[in-house]
Amino acid sequence: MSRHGLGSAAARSVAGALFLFLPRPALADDTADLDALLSESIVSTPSRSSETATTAPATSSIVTAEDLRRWGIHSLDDAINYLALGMVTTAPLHTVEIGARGVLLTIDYGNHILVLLDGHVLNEPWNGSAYFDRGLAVPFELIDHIEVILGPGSVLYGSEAMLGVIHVVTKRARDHAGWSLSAEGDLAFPTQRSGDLLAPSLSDSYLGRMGRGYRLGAGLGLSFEALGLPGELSLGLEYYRQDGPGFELGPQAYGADAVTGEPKDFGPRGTPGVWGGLAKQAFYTQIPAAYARLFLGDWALSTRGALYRRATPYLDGIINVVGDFDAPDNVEMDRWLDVVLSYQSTLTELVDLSLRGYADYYDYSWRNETSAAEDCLGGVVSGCTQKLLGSASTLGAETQLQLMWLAELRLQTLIGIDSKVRVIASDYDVIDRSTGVALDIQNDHERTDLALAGYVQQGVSPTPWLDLNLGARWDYDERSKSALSPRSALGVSPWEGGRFKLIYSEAFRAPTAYELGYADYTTQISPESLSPETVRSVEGSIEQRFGSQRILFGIFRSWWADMVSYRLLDDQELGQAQAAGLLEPGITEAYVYTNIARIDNYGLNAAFEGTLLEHRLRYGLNLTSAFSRQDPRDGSDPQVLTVGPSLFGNARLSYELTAPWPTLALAVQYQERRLADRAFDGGFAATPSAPPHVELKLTASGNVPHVPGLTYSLSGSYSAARVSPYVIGPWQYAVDETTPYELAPLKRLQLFGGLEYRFGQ
Amino acid sequence: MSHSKPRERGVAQGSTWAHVGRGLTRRQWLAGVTAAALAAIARAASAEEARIPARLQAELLAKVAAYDGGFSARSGGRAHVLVVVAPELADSERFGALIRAELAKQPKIGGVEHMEELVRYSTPEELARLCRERRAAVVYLAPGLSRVAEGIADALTGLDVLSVSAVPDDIAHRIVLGFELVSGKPKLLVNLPQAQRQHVAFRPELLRLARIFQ
Repeated sequence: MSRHGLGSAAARSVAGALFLFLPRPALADDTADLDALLSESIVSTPSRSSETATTAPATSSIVTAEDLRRWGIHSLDDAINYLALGMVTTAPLHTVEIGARGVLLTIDYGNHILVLLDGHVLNEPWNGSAYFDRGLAVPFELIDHIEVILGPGSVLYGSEAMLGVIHVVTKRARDHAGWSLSAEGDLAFPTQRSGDLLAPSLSDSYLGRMGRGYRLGAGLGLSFEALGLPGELSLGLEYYRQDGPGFELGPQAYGADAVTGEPKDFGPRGTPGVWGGLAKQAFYTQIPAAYARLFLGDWALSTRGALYRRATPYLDGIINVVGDFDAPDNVEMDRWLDVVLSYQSTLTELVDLSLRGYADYYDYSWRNETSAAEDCLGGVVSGCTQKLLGSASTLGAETQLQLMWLAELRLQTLIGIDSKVRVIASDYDVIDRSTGVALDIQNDHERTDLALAGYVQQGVSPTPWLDLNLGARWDYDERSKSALSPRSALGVSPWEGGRFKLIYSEAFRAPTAYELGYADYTTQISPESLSPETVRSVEGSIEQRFGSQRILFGIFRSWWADMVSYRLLDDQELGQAQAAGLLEPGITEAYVYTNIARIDNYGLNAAFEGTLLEHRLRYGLNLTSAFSRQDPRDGSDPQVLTVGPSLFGNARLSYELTAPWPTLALAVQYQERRLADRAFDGGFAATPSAPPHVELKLTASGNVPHVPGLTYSLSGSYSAARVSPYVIGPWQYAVDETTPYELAPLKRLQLFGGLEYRFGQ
Repeated sequence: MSHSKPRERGVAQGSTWAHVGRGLTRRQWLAGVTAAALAAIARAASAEEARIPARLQAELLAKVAAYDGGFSARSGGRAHVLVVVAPELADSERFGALIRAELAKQPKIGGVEHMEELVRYSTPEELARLCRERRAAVVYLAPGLSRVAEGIADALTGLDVLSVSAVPDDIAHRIVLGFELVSGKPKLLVNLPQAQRQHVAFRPELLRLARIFQ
């Protein structure tokens, strides 16, 4: 059996470890029965109603605000990697990629996971992108908890919920009453080309390479009465800025420009013919974000505005395939403005009505400066500026009826109708630097798409120990064919504290406007049509609670079909595209998106968590082992997936010392060796792969003595790994067996310090 | 224990209180007006919400009651649970039906057999009278009664009964026990002074798990 398989030694070791850690009944104290209930997580995502994670029709984990503080978490990807079950992210410095249960689809920009903020979809409508690093752009102190739901979730949420759903739930006003201010700073220590940390010094060169970041935030929770109605306002404002650290990259000897025959020009900070050097200007992030929720009686209004601007210091296969070296103007920026108005009321003892209307605006811009003639279109020899702009406006409405038929049977019916219109525009320009004139490229596109959906869910508990949940959603999207997403879940509690679950579910992802419309005249044409990607999944789990200890073991299997991939145009298609003016005449190969690949995936999840010593000691362990194989269906053999790990997990331990001493916490994340993104198509003599990733975070947090309302958090993170599984630099593809590859560096050592002050505490 | 004599005011009742007369008596008319006023108030207060699912609240109560030193004696071998709802307020009636059904599914509450009764709120005094009459061990307030929670606490003072609210805010208004959602986890709330006034004696190990209102 493969080392990735269910019978792997690692999986057996974990099962053994879990058994050893299993608390004996004799350890149960007087409050063990209550502890078991009080350690339950309350989730609202799996069935759109509040229920315990144990009884919910999904495998889920929850990360609370207390967890974020206790374990020194500063971003969603940190929360996932250090605390959650079944999901994992990899960080090529920006554009953090995410996978679940062994399936990570690189360069998907997160569009196989649905991200919700208080029930509102954050995946943008142009390409379905979502961000999992600081680019989530939600004021961090406003987060109440994060629900991480594994498995297909389209039954209630529609497109993109293929790997799972991440729901960020913010605090209500009562949970953060009054004003609060927060400030946080971080330092990232520079590394050598080898990835080793540089010896610390006070020299200008060392300090100049040191990475610096800070975050400033303000929050307000206000409860009031207006028009005779109870109201509340929650507000969060935040600004985050990061610069560096500087990285030593390359050198990669590239040679001559294919157009000019001269050494390739890598710009003012580059060396002709050689890519690399010290990159210290082109790694930065700026994120201002604001989020507000206003409740008045049965009405709620929320709005979010945010901007995510960043530069990544190297060429790669995700953001900048070409470009000048260490060019700070090679930048990406996303902007969001969302407004959601909702009404929720219990009409009768039987019927709840929920209405939601929303208007979202989103745009994305990408700018790439390159001085090399070969990176520009024909005739431009002194460099060019590429600009890609995408914008999307969405207007949507959702109506939901919840019917509570028989309380004795927990007979609940959920019926919903969802509709939205998306207006998408994309504009790609190439500007000749010498003339400032945009080249004539006919590949801008606009489209307006309507999407409609109806869904129904029925829950029933014929006996106190048996829960059934059946549901289905039908989606029609003008971008593709319709899709049906059923789910059936069975939950059985055969004894005190025990729970079996068996779940079958399907999900889909409609093709994005980007996939349907993007073309760039030199490498890619747009497809005539695309079908939805689909996934079917079956999973089973057993969970047992012993007082405040919880152990979970689950197995899963999923089948993915019609995955959108690039397909190389054959000679006839290439000729037709050139004749139609879709491709430059001199192009010899080009691609088109098509539904082609399949993925087969299976594996296991295990989790163990608990508390001891009157909850002062907390610990947890999550582990996932999976086998995933992609069949490209292009005549080549099935392959394991790149970038994502097959074995990954995390462990944590914290102890709350008696005040005024802090709470000490240690968290560790692990990802096994992973194939790099260019492992199969790069053509390198040695298959690029990243070594196992072990990263730990040590945190001390608590109240500042003698200053009521002031809390602090100090933490440091250290990565034993030096690189992530992304090939960087101009050599994305080998020209011969001597072509070297280089993997993306990591921030290895970081220190964080933060203060939060709550007025009137 | 001192039980004040029940006063003859307000008789609106739920499953057992409902008296649909051929003609309205003055008392019924007053009760109707009171109910309408309460409904209007409660409508405005519809943001009062149970933040913990009824199913978990019932499971918690079944366990927590066992930590009340006097619960077994108070129950007399069979705990009578009054589930009180705000009249004509749909979400209150809904929650009342849910929590009654969930409590009924519990094999035992506080280690003893139990029965549940759904009643509609009219006045604090009437509720207190009913508690005495039924020898209720638990009074469970559904959402929609926050504005009268203080009055209910006053009326229950001196009685031997555990008052519980589905709405966490009510604990600040002297309801003895409540359930709060803190960062996705349930939390117990206990109003300790009022617990003493109602002869509820929670054991220290329970109080260590709860947020205490003094």
